[in-house]
Amino acid sequence: MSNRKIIIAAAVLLLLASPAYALKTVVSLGANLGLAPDMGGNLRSGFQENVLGVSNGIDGINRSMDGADTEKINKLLGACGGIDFKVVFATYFLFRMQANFAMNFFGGRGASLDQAENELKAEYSLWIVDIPFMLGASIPFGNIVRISLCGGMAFAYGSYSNSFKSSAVSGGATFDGWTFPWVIMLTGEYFFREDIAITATLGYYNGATDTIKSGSDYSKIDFAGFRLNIGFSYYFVNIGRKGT
Amino acid sequence: MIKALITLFILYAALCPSIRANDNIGLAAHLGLQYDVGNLSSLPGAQVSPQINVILGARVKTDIRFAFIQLGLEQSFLASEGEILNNSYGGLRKTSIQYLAFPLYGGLNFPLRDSGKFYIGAGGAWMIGSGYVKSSTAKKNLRKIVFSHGLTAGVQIRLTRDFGLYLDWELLYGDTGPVIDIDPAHDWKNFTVDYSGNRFHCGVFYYVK
Repeated sequence: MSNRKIIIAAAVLLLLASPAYALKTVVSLGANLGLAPDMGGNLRSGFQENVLGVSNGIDGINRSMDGADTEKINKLLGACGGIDFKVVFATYFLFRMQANFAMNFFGGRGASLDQAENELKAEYSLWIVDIPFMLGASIPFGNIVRISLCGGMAFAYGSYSNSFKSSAVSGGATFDGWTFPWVIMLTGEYFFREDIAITATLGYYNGATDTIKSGSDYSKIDFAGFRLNIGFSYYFVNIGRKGT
Repeated sequence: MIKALITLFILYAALCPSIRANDNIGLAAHLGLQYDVGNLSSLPGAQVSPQINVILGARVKTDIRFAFIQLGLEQSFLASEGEILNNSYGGLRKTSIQYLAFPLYGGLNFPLRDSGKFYIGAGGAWMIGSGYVKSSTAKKNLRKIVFSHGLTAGVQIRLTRDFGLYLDWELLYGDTGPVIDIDPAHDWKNFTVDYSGNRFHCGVFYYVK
C-alpha cells in the first residue's frame, strides 16, 4: 500500500471516531512506561553482509574462538514510554491514539571477529518515535476492570546506528526512516477510583521501512516487535466503579 | 546452581509483602508447547523442519491486590528435531535443544468479575540449556546457562472454590552465544542457539489461600 493511501486510511479512522461524541462518550488521558524486547529485529545491513559475511545482522554477528578476546553482543532490549488518549463510546467501543518513544538500553555492544579473525568491536543502537491510531472494543467486567483490544496503524520514525571496527575493517552508518506499521494492543485497566485506572498494555507492531541508503551502506528499520507498558489512565468522565 | 535458586527464592520472598485476607496464593502445574525452537525458520534462506518441544511446568503464584508475582520451574522435552532441509545455512544440519528453566514474573491482574483473572506481566528466566546441535562436520552437546527476559499474558478461570484452569502465553528472549562452527572456512564458533520464542501453557491451578 502506498504511503498516501495509508495517510488517507488514518484520516478516515479519525473521522469515524469523531461522531462518537454524539453517543455516550468518555475520554481519558494516560501515561505509561515499559519494555520493548528485541528492538529492531536482526538489524541487518549491507556492510555486515558484504564485508563481515553476516547475513542475519545481530542474530549472526557473534563469533568466538580460542585465544580471541570476544564479548557476546546481545539483542537490543529497549525501554519505552508514552502518553495515550482514549475515547470510549457507546460503552463498548474504543478509539485510541498514542505518542510513544522507545530506545535501547541493554545489548547491542560487544566484540566479535571479522572475516580475517581479528577482534571486531560492534555496536548497535536504535530509537523510535511512533504515533498509533487504533479502533477496537473495550469490555467492562463489573465496574472495576475493563479489557480492551484495538488495532490500527501508526506513524513510526526510527533512527538506527551501527559501527564495526577491527584492525582490518571499519564501517558504520546511521539510517533514518519512517513508515506506517500496523499495531494491535491488548489492555487491562483496573479502576482504583471512578476516574483513575492502573493499566497494563501488551502491544505488537509489524512493519519496516523500505531499504534506506546511508553512504555506501544500506539497511531497513524494522519496527516489528512486542511492547509491554504499565501506566495509568485518568478519565474525564467517570467510567469505573460507580460510572457507566 | 544452588546459589542461583536460593537467589530466586529470596527475590520472590522479598517481592511478596504481607499477604492480605483477600489475596490469593496458588500452586499450578501445566503442559505447554513451543514451536520452532531455536528459531531456525528465521535463518536467511533456510527451508526448515522446525523443532517442536513439549513443556512440563509448575509454578507458585501470589496475587496481591491487582498485582501478581509468580515463580516457576519448567522442563522442555523434544517432540521433533529441527532440521535445515536445503543445507542453506553454512554447515548447520540439525538441532535438538531443551532446557530446564526457573521463570520469575511480575505484573498486573485484572479480575473478570468473580470468575477469574486476566493478567499481563514481565520478567525473565534462568535457564540451563541442554541437547545438541549437529553440523555437517561435528555434533556439539550443549550445557549452557542462559539468562533470558520476557513477557507473559494469560487468563485464569476459577472452576471451584479450590481449583481453576489457566491458559497463558510467554515470550522469552535469550541465547547461548556461539557454540559450534558451521562455517568450514574458519575455525571460529559462529552459530548461536536461540532459546527465544513463544510458549503456550495450559494448566491447573490450586488455590492454597
